Amino acid sequence: MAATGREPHGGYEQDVLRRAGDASVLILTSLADGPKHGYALLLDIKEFAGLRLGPGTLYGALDRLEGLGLIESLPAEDRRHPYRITSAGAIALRHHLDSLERVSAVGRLRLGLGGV
Amino acid sequence: MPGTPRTRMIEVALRCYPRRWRDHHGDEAIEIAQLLVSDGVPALFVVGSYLKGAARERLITRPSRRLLPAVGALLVGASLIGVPLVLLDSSTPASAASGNEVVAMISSHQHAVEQLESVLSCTTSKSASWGYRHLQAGMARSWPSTSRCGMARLAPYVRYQVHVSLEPRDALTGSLCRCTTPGGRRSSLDLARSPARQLPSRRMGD
Repeated sequence: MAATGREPHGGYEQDVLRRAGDASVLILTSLADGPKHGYALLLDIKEFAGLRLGPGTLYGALDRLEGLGLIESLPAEDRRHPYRITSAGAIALRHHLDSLERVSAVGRLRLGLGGV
Repeated sequence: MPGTPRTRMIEVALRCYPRRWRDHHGDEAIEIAQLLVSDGVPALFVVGSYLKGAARERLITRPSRRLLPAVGALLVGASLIGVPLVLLDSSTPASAASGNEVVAMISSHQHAVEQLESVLSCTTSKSASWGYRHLQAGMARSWPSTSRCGMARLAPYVRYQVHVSLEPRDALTGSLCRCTTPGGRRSSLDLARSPARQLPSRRMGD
């Protein structure tokens, strides 16, 4: 499935995040437990993924996700703009994680590590 | 941290973003950069990330409209002069002009006008056209050994520079016609390998 976003009938393709990049997936995962602003996102991602996203990468991904309607910007608090995952974003993230899980299961099986 | 070289580097990097982006994210981006640096993240990492982001931002919004047509125009120009793309490689001699350039060999005096026109037709500048008209009028022999005959704005982001050097000075045979595009890739066109009769005979300014 291509990452083309909304389908004509208003739904979402199975895995809209497939080509959205790792940063997008990490951001959606971080926002899954509540709204966060940029710096909090970077800290959270560093904590759960062990990966330090560059701020330029972060903003690029935030703009892309907002454009796709997967996240939305909340009113600014001081200079910070918190972001919240939308329901479409939650669905897209779930589809993507399902897809990763399928790939992971096949990979583990073929490596002789047993299926999930 | 205000006023430090690190801060200035970050501000310079942020100024590379379009104004629309800075209006939306600018204040927060500065704050994040300061927090990251105070956390021990190297300032160069932050600056590099912002520079990459700025380049991406501008590539997404502009070059799709401006750079690609320019690249397309160059490819069409190369195909028009009958030069196989396989010749567009790095065979430019080390002694050639610095920067990225297209070097075209003029195979004979008889076909020089036609061949040079083919190269110049890549450009749209009045000065290149002027250079061509002088060549057509038989004034080429009086050109200096390396004469800059045109700098065209092929596209807003691509400047096309045409140099003509005559070697030997009193004949066009063996001359080099150099098209330099700052920031482009070094390549060469060997018109000597391409029969002149296969070249387009379109006249500049027609």
